[in-house]
Amino acid sequence: MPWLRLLGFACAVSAAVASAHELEHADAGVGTAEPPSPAASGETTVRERRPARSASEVTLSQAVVNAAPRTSAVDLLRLVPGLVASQHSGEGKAQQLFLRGFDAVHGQDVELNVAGLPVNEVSHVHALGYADLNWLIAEAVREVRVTEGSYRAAQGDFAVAGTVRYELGLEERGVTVAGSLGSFNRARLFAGVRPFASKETFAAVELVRGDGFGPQRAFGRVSALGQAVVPLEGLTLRAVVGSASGRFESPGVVREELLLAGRAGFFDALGRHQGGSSSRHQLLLGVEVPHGAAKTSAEVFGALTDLELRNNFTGFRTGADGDGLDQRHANALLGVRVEHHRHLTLFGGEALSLDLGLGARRDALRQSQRPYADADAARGPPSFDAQVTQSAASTWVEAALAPGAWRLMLGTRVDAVGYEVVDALGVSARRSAFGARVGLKAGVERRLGRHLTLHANYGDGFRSAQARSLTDGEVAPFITVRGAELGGALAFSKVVTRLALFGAFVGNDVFFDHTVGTTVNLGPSWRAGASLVVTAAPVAGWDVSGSVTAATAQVATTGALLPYFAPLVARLDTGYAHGFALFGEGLVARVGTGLTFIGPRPLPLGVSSRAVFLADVRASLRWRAVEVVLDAQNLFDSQWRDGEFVYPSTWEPGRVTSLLPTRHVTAGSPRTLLVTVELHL
Amino acid sequence: MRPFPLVVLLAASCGPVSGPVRRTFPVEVVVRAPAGPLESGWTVEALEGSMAFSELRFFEGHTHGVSRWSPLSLLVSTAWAHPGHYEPGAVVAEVLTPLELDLARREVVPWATADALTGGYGSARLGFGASGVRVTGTARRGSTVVRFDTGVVEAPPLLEGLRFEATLTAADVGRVRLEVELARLLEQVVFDEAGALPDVDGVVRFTPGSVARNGFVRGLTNAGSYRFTWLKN
Repeated sequence: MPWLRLLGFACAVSAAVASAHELEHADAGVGTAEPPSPAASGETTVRERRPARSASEVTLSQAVVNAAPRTSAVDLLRLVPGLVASQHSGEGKAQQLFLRGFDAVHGQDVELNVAGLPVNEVSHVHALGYADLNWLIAEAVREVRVTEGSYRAAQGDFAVAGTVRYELGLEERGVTVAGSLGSFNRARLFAGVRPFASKETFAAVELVRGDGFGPQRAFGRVSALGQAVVPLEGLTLRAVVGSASGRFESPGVVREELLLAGRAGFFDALGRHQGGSSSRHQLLLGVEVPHGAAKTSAEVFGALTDLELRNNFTGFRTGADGDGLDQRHANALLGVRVEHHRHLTLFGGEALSLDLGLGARRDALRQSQRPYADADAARGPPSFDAQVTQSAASTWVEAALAPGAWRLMLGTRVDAVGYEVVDALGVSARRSAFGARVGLKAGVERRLGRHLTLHANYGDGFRSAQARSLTDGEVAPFITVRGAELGGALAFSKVVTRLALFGAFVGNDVFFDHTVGTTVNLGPSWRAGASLVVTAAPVAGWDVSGSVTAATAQVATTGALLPYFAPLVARLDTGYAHGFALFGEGLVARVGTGLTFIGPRPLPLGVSSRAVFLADVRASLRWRAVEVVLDAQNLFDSQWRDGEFVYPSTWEPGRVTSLLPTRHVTAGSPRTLLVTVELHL
Repeated sequence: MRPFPLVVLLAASCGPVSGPVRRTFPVEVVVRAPAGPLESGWTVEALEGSMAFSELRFFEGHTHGVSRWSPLSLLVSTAWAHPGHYEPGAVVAEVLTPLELDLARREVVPWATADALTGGYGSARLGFGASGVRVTGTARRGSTVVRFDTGVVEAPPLLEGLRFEATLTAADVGRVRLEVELARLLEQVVFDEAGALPDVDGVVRFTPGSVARNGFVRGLTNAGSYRFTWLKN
């Protein structure tokens, strides 16, 4: 019973929080009903929360996260400069990601991590690196650490286009309870508790459901997430627990020809029974031990994930029963990570910074795929049914020397992955494979005056292979990207501007079209582009994060563009909070907006997708312990296409229809309003 | 100062997309009458009738009959255990407009404009219309003269694996011609064992299940009865 397991996890979170509370210094003010002043809640200066080691390392604060409406994981992903997140299969399936010229499908080229818990799933039945972030509660995101490219030694599997790490914490101390009602019968309950001054120790629960903005879009999920950070004498303990379960329907695609001919509506669902359910239960236990000029941390983590998914992207192309695929995937992940950081003084008195890391993970997964009938969802015999054990070990080292205004970094990373596949259907029932790789990381920094830092970086990124594609005894291949970046950061007290020119070369690229399940070997390919990111806090209470990313992706041998990548992406998140008095009462008003522009994307057959512009706004008013929040997403109610795909399909069985590849669309959300009442106790 | 690389990048993003692009080409049909006696010895003439097509699609997959010669085949021959190895692959062009073809006409008949993709073509698939195929005419062998009427024969809906090899780019200007070879269509018909006596008009009508009709159906479903060629303009 997921609810019972959820309750168990919630109790565990509460116990951990209570334990931390007892250890915390006595600190008055728990449960205060006074609203935090805007100056206290927002930063008055843009503080670098971690030292950036490349021009595109960006850290976004909670003030930026909270500026615009964040009703789903898509909203948390859109914070990442240059990242396009498409939610083409309902609110419950992992989003399709596009970053820096890469079509990362459901995560194969973007490494996602939440507070040390890896999100990407290896050898996933639906798509490599499948990264479902729907369980992440928006209010619990304290910071977003974006490391685009793969220039740091700690970046692991799937860090091809970059790494995004969400750090956890609740913004306001005490207990927060919120209830939301909105368009399309969306309803949400949120409860969170942050007992101490530190944001990092908290527990939160979210329960959300909705009918969706058209047929076959209903969803519901519950998520509990907590973190306890316990400082002890000489060490700090950290625990992260989470449990989530959800069900979602999916409308699938609409063939554009039917749309233009009036035989289908923009929000229609052509294939029946699409959707599925997912669950995730996870735990991380960590210890950090500072000793002198060094610091050692160790983390063990585990996650149990399940996905049942029914998709039909091609209708009735292969048979009268429909082309639906029922995919099931269950994984048990167990991992460990040990990191050691220390400063050494060399003979010349110069400081050498040294980072060493060791990591290992074991994924034991069971996956299957069967056809299902469009009429009644009856399942057919499996096309594959396999049990996979994938074991990975890695070690990395990064050394940095900082003579004067220079900082020279050199690192390397060694990864090895072993696969064992027990195929329930295959003639060769048991297969095993193994592969290893070595990657190089390098960086040069030069400070020019107080404000300007120039960066040059190089790094090899990689993604592991799909286990079921391997044969017995095969040297397991890695898709390796060799990336470089030139750029700089101009940092003043209230504004930081980062400009990066990046390029990446993939020697053996493959294009996986997960809508039709085809893989095309492309040979060598390259990406290049530029990104400009500005984070600012011009005045107290006003936070701004804006970015523009331009990219191209081409097949190296022909110069032809790769399909689907996003050539131009712009994003602006800005929020302003202001305290004032009315009739003697202190009030705090907040307004914020999130603006997204996605330029036309190249599609197969020489056509392009339509440009997308979305405006989300948030306004709130706080009086004492009560805050009313109004969120409006897609404010101008534009009819936009969240996804556009080109491939052959047949949706009208018995009717002679074209079998040529043609455009299919998934509808983006129309204007959606949400009213939230929050109680801060 | 030279233009900023961003401009260059944006310009580069407007290049051609990897893979095929859309194009069209006309499709025409011509009926070829037998130039002489059939292999069976019969000479057919005064041929009339009709043939209904419902659709025509081209596929990227090659038929077995058109695999290119390779020196390796001298050492290792390819064994085809049974039919069914043909993998048509993706559709690369199609005509979905039905055509009623008058078999008495000998001039080229335009069919329609095919919606198509650039790239490699390996085979074609012909769809027959519900109104079927009918051929009438006179067959002679020696002193035997048979006026025949196949009657309306319902062809199988789809005839797959027809030969058509081409590589089309967006710049290629031309058309596809389908030639219907009446000689191949009729070469397996045994006209003097038609299985039925001439009717009052002196016409032998092919009754269902008769040897003559079966021979005609075999010719109808013979891939060699239809020849596709790409003609440059």
